[in-house]
Amino acid sequence: MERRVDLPSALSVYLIADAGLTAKSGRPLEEMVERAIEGGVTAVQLRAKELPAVEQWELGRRLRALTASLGIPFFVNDRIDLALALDADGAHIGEEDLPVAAARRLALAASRPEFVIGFSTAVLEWARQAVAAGADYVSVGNLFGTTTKPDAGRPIGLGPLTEIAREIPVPVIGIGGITDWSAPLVIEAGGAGVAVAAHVIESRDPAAAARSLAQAVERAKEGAAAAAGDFGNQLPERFADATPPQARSKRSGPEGSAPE
Amino acid sequence: MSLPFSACRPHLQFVLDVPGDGAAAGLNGSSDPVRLAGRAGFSRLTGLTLAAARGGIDSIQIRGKNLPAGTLLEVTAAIIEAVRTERHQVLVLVNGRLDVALLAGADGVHLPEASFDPLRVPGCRRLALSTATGRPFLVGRSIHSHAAVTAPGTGRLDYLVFGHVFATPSKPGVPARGLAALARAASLAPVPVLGIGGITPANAAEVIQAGAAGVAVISAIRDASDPFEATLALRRSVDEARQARRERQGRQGGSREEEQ
Repeated sequence: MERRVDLPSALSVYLIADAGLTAKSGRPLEEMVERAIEGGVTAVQLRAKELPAVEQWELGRRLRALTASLGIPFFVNDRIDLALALDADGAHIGEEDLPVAAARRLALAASRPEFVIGFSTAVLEWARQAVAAGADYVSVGNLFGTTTKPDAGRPIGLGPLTEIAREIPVPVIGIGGITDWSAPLVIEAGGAGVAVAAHVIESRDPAAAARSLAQAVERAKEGAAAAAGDFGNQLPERFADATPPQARSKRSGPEGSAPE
Repeated sequence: MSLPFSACRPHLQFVLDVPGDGAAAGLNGSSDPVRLAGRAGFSRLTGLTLAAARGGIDSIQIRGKNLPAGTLLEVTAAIIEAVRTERHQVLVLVNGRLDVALLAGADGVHLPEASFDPLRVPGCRRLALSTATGRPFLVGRSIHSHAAVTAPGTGRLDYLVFGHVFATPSKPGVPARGLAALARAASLAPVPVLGIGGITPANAAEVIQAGAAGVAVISAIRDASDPFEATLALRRSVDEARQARRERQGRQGGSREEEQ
């Protein structure tokens, strides 16, 4: 039976398990991730670009087993081959990584039509092109300033996310320096959730950090639903439908000019 | 032995390192959303590739350690196009990134020692057949120890690269393994072994005489004042060495181990 990730809700509190982060605490990343899930994290992404492939694989296996046992979706950053090898629920790619259409092609060829593909951008046109090429969600950042990613660029605030969330038909999340006080702003701007890394993983109590973040997001979502009255109707049809999109645009853009 | 590693002809592989700083290499990939302009920057790389192809290499291994996957995909596609346009019988392999290799229609992937097993990617070889030429997708691997040579799973690979044989500026401070270690690796391995590390037209013959199925070179071609001539010289060295080896064995009346 094909696995289904309930996307909008899975994105509420999205933990980036960045392999560079626990160097400070010395505690294993899996331990921090487990505590964070207990506190309310709804999805986990492995980000370990600087590790040798075999170590990414070993760490990924442990995180895949952990998330599967706790019923949490697991995504892998950048490497589609690793994501498929680990039987992850999907992959997350950035503007410089493989084109979305290429990632989708590989997933389909590996008999994973339900494979989730997330895309990072702060540019509306590129978000549109990514969706046209098959992206299932978009992550917008660096919102408020991050310590985790050295090349994240200067903070952009909520403007781009607000615009992108309004214009594209897939869920949008925010990333970059998000904390309890700013998480509700992301939801109010139209975000489906928040992605965090150091805020939870480098916390003295990852479970507590995740819990208060999750509560802030939940409260904000209830508030936004009450205010808008039709939050539920903004969910695109395709998330209720098991059939993956078949026709993909071949336009270039964040897709570059890679061969089809 | 499979066709690319014919008993009659030693295998000559050119390892093309693509620098991670796109600007230095004239690649324009990271900030240009369309990336079409990046193609012009590939001319230095394709020029080098074609010089080596005309000079008689059997394969090229594209190594983009610090390259984002999107750029690596485009570089690989450009090199494949250049090679095929001139109808060279040169195999194109991508180092590490199996996803890029499959999507670009490369002939195979070359795994660094610390890699995960590509056969864990569902339908890996099947994927390759469906995307490209219909020829078998090759998998090579770098190794640095005799334990790795006889590890389980090695027999499933198409070739190994053992090094580094001679002192090389690419690996300062790391002692060379030497010809005896290479000879031992070649005798222990269930698949063909290429030598790598400081190999030049002057010493390539010794590598073949030690029993290697071929050689892999980096700076001998890339840093030559005339890469075409340097490749010709390497080609001559290894072919003559193989011929001498066969004649020696013929005179000794020994087993026709090379004529399988």
